[in-house]
Amino acid sequence: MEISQDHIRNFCIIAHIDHGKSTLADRILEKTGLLTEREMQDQVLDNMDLERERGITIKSQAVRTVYTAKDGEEYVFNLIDTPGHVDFNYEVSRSLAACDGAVLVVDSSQGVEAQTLANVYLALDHDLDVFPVLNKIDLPSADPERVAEEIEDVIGIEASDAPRISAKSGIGIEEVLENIVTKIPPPSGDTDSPLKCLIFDSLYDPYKGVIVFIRVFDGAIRPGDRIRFMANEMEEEVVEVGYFGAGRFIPCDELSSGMVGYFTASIKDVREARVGDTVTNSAKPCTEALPGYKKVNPMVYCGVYPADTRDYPNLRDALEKLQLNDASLSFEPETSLALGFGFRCGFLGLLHLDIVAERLEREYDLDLVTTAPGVVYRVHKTDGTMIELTNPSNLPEPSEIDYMEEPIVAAEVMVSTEYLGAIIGLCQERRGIQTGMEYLEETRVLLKYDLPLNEIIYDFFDALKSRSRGYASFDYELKGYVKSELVKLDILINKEYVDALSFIVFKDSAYQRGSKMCEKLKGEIPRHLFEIPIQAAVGGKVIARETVKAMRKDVLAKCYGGDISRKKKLLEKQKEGKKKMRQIGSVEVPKEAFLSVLKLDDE
Amino acid sequence: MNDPEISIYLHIPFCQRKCLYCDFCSDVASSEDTFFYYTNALLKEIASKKELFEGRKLSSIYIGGGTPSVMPSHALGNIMDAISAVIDIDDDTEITMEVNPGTVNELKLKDYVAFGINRVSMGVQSMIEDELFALGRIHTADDVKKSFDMLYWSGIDNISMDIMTSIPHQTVESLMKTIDEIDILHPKHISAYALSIEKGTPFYEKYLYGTLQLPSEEESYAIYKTAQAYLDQKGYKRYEISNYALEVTYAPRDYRCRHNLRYWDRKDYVGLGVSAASKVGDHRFTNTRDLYSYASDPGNIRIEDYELKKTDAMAEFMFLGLRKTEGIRLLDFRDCFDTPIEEVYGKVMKNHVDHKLAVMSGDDEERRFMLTEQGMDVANYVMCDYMF
Repeated sequence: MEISQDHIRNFCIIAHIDHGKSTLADRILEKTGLLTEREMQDQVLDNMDLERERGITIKSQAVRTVYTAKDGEEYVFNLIDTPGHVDFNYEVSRSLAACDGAVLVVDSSQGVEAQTLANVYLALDHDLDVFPVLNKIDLPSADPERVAEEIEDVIGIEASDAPRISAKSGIGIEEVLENIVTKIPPPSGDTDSPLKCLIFDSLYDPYKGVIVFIRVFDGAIRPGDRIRFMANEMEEEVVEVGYFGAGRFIPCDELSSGMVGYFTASIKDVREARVGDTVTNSAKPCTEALPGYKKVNPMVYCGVYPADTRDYPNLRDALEKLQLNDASLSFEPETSLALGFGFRCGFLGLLHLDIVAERLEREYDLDLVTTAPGVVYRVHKTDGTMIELTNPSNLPEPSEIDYMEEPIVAAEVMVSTEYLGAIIGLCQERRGIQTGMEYLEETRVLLKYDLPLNEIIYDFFDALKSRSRGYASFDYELKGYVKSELVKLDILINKEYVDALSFIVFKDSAYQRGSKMCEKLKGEIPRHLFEIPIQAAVGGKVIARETVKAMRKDVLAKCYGGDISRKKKLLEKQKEGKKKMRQIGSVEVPKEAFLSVLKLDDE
Repeated sequence: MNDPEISIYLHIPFCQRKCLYCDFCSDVASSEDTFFYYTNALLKEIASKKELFEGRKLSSIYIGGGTPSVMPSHALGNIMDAISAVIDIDDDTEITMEVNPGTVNELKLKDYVAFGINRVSMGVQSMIEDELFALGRIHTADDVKKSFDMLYWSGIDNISMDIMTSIPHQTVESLMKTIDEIDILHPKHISAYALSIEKGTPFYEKYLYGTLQLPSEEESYAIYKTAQAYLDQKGYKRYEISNYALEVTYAPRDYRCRHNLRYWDRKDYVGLGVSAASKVGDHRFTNTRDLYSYASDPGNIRIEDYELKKTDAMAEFMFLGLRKTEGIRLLDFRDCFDTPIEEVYGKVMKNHVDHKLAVMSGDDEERRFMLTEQGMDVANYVMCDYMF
């Protein structure tokens, strides 16, 4: 099929979490006939098991479909799905770079939320044309008129004629499709110029090698072409080009300017095809690369160790593979006395950490121990140098430290007035400084706070949700560093210092955190044949203590009627538990103990 | 290693009333028909297992439950006849039956003796009325004495008594009183089990709601240790984690339970009846726990049926053998598995000796490995190290 550029629409759907982005994507695919209703599986674009379970989109996905518009013409739609969560801004950003426009989905009862704003700004940054859609109009609480006004007031884009739809019940989808044709501009590249395309994702396939997802801006790419990756100057020969069907790859003869698709070139290593890089033709190269994406820096660090030390090489492999299409993940090897060999990994946020850890466990079948997440502190030493501290164990001696700085974020919390008091209280507790408060409507307030990142990485989301009964949303961005009184809190188990349990904490919170930590550990460490003291210390001074009592009795009374199997299973289970423990001095510590530090504030 | 002998475990899953802590396979029989129905199934199973007994000598029979003494005598007679038809029962065979105090009378006992029953295990649990009531037992302390006398005069003098520790309302003093009262009767064998709260029992529910008045952890441990010391003082020598046999100079006979020893020595046994477990060579299998599916095809519907791997057998050798105070003989391991024990378990054994959980004793051929008293207290913790 010969497609002219003005009959192509490359777009994405952006939305706050739960506003119905994936459902709308499904509807669009269904209406354009890519899928019949029978083939329809809910949320086609959310492929990963994890995505479906959590109801969120983590990786971006792309799909091509053909729509016959009311003007009788056929249009090719390339829909690129984007993640909705703040932690995945980087992924959003790379999806947006492949698009020309965006459909903004807003829940017509919830209205504009923190991430609605964040995503719209991101889209505008990429020069995308954005048009809004009001979703969930069939809910009794829907108030599309109010929300339309809110969109105009808060975001400043025209919303009076926004389609009123219900993606779930299929109301108004036609109107959305027409709007895509009329409101999203066609691509504007030049097919006769040298090849210039952007890599926006990649995937490893055991048969085809790396499958590179691209958006062609200028020129065309065909099988047999010799191409060059501009960042690392690697050259390869294209084996196959094609586009995205629903859940499969459909080969074609060429991809020309304006198109979204993929190519393969017997690339074995995902690192060769770096996401964000520009691909051009070796014979007729373009002069300059596309801008690529904004480099993102990890904000949260933690140690990731295999529960079974023999899995270390597998963990490295898995991290390397994940990094291929998640460039925001960083890692470097480190060793811990307690946990052996592992990696210090950097993440965009706690959800990102959570997702990566879970993907490692599920997709790569690894059993992990993660240490307390921390942020990057700046330690200014007395000799005038400054180090960026990602691992508490590397904190210099107190005598060498002049002062320390911690990262501060500018946070925006959107909350209904009913819970305003509770949320302000929470922000104060977390050492927040209010920088603004705006009433968006009578019942909704936008709160602005400067908060230490350290205070929000553990459980801020959970606390926010529970104190507002879910009626608050939250977004943040790094603002800078400020001087702060920080100390390193150490944990000693049976008088042995456990490096993996140390963390940096605000001085005034040290006692409270230390005693909670000891209390938690007491619950996690099984009884041994001897008494085990658990202590929290700051600078060698013990500030809290708990004791795990000695085990004196643990015996199966009876092997009844020769039923040996049951007892055997019990012993096997006990052995299994013992195996997974880490030896610290003479104490065996289960992996849960290392995770307990994450859950200090569960009441 | 072929065992020239074999034992039989016979399960009678009926009770007059189910105790509040019991999770064994048992139920209240609704009528005479139920006994008849179950007996017929047992007869079928016995006949179908004929070849398992061929060429073997019957070492012991253990009739457990439930409460086997609620079975009508004639039914029990039929079962014993069926067993005799597949294997010889001689005077030397230890035949134990579990009896609950208050469920026997002289007439029944006469029958039991005629069937060859020569050992009785009584579920006494406690001699304190409050404690018995809290357990949901149907008997009183007085019933224990009466039944004991009745058994004794009918000619069954090899009597074992079960007592329980860590039960509701129990104290160190009340446990000592229970032992004192039992000692007056002077049974030949005592088993002391700690109460365990099992899922699916009324005790479990009560435990969850916190309405079960169990002794504190400290008290419970004190009771447990007192039971050991006080029984020893009365002449009952501990020979297994929970079992004590009378050792007196004037009656130099071994009163240890031969049937149970065979479990711990990994000897062969055939389990008959619903939920009964069998071990023949390296083959372990267990009948269904459901009475009706059992009766539909007796002995052939199993919840478990597998051949032991060598490593499984080794682990069993250790965790069963170490339940006995005499522990294991190192050479027995080599005879059994063609491998010196040190090669398989050397490191673990040394670690346990270093931590005073176990000791070695004896020389050369008689070198043995056994748990210390502390090791027995934390037997699970120790034994799981022998699993693979």
